Amino acid sequence: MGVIAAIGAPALTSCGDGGAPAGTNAGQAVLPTFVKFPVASADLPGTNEGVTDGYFTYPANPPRVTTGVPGDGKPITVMMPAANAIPPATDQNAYAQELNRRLGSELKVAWTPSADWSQKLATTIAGDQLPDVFNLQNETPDFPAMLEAKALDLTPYLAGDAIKKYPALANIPTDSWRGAVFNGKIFGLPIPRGITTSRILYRREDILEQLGAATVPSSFADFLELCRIATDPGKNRWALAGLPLTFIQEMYELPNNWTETDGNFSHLFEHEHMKDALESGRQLVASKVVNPDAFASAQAQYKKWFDAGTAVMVEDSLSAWQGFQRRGATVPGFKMAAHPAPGAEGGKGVFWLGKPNHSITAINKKAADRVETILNVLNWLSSPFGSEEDMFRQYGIAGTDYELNGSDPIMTDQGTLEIKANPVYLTGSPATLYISQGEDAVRARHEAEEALVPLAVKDDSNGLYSATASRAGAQQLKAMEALQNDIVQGRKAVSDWDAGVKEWQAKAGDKMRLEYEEAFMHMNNA
Amino acid sequence: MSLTKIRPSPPLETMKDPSPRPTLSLWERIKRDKLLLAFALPGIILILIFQYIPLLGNVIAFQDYQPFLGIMHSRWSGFDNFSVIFNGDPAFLNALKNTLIITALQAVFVFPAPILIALLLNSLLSNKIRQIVQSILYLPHFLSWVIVVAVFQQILGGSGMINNYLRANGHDTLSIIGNSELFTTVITSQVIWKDTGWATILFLAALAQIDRSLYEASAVDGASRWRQTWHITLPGLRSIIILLFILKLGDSLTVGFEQLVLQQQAVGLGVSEVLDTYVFNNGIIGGAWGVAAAVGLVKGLVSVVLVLAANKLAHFFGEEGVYKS
Repeated sequence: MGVIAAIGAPALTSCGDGGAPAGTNAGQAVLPTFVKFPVASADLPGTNEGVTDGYFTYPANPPRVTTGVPGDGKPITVMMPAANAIPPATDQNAYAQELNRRLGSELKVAWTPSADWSQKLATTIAGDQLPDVFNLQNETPDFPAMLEAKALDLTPYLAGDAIKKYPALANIPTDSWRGAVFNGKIFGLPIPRGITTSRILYRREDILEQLGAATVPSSFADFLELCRIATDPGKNRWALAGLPLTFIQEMYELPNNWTETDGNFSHLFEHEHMKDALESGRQLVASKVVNPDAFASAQAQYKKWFDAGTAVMVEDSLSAWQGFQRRGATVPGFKMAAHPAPGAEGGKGVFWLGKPNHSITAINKKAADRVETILNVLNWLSSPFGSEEDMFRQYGIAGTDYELNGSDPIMTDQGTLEIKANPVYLTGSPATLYISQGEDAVRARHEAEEALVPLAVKDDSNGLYSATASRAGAQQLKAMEALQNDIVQGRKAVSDWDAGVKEWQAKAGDKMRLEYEEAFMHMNNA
Repeated sequence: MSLTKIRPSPPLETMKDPSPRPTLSLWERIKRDKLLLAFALPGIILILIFQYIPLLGNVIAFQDYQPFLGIMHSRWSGFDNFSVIFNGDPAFLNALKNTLIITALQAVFVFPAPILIALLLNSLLSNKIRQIVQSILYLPHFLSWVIVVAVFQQILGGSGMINNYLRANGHDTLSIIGNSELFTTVITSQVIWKDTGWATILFLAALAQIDRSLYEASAVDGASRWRQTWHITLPGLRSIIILLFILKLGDSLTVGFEQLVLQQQAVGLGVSEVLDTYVFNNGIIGGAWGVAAAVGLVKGLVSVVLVLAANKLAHFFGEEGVYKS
């Protein structure tokens, strides 16, 4: 993933390998009604435009928000990728045992390392061995046809007001539900991420302050100058961990993947300023302000460089904030910040919104007789932040997996290990901003979000389906990434981009455009 | 009568068994060898289930295969999937070119390396030192490619050990990792470092088979170490060298997928795209299983042809090769 993320590929910026499913033709009629589930009031309230609710501490004495036991006593089989390492087995995992007890149905999870996920899924589908509930990330071509063949149509259970039976699921934002609708039917439950899948440029504010350079750049030239100041190879320090191509493209106000005007679609690659962005990327690499091993390394390595101060800035998803902050706690004086991209020639840039979902969870057609039980269990698992259910799901058993510090749960070693069994890729409540590092850390990110969100640009192909994108999109994107890579590293000229775009248009781009335009028209007429 | 007496005695083997065995029917042979066959049965069943039956799955090379439809319901597409090989796509030709370059480099530099090391180890007199050296040489084989690539980068990379030292002492830095011109050199060195030690095992075993008395006899005749190597050691190794070379040819089109895919981004596809990574980037990534199977099938056929041809050649030169014809 890191290798791909490094180049800032627009369609691959969510943290899965293939990006979240885009959904298709989500006519308003089938979308579930949104009913906010208020539990704890936020210290720093979010906005409808996408700023996340911020909490300084975990709400004290979280209340129970569900009644009874959601399960029916029979096990539910589940397949999903493991976010981290595979968790300890249930018989050696107090958290998993307690989770099963509370759910009233044992979750029999087949964990798969995320690197092997798409192969595992393909073979499982081919062998007709899909479990009751499974995670999907748009891996197969003809995604809607696959869903029609294997997944249960949830429209009767969730569309419109029907969802009110599952209050925690009704709390999932409408934008996220659009990503679960294909062929006009709800085929899954979204795993909502809000704006946290968006990529931002992180800065080590403590290092920049030491260098007397903690200014926010106002143009690309300014940014380049800042990078020069922050770079000191003699001290093994480079301004940039990797080339922040998304950030540069945002400076040139380029479209976030596809953009629509009057029903006509055009793509980032075709934009007149794309070559300017590539030229700027090339300049950054040529100015030697990017770690010389950047292109040979992955995102995980970039994170380490940023943690160690070997890189002063790094591009990563907004959801990486908590991790940086947590690891930074061991660095004296650690302070980080983020700001939106300035306009390349001054003024303001834009902010590319990430996909609203990580992935979706589908229910097997063969499990139709248990659909209400399964939905009850998933509803329980989606209990919002600040509820007793959420506290348990995220942090485990008090005294075993975590200890309370005030009202903040602090994970024990056992908890850190056991909590990997948290079925994060089954469903979830909307993203919230809570960092158990005190008020300043929460404020810093909330401020960054408030600066970023007004500049937000959506990918206009979200919620639309293109068969070509599903079949050939990934390969062609890969080819274009390779070309971008060659250009920014100086192996090819910026002018070679035009020929690449022509080829891309011929092989996939033009067809994708037509399909999106058609889908867009269809959606608006529906 | 007297004529027969003068005739030279026939070679030893034919004397032992002058008349050929009576030909047994298949059933008789099965009956005779039933115990041996019973021993072989579990292995045969395993090979059938896990090697031969899955071969049938290659039909997806001729299908627009979709896992959710399965082999039974996927659309037949004839030779469409093979078009990627034969349509002269420059990206494919580039991948083929790189594969052949890397194969040639490996044949010249990687293949003989373990032979040289085995000879060297064999010439060490102290058993203890030999065992220590051998163990050290084996170790890298057990590291995964991710680790090997990371180790090379930590040492040779732009912010690696060597360049940091140079920078700290005011010298110019070396561009090794990420330099597309040195890429083939780097990956060949990585393969040599990782697997040479391990590959010496077979050669060392073969060296141990060589009759010691031959060396003693040649020493009596005043042969130098060099002449001993040339006239006794290398001929003793010849059949294993040829055997391994033929097997190597069999996977000559497979030049290290993981190793390359890990390093592609730094040097670009121009020098690093090989057949396997091409299949990955153009097949697996988009879920184009049919295309991936088609290229795999062609690769397999090419390998079989190469092995059979090399084996014929070996027979021609009087060697046994992989099997007897």
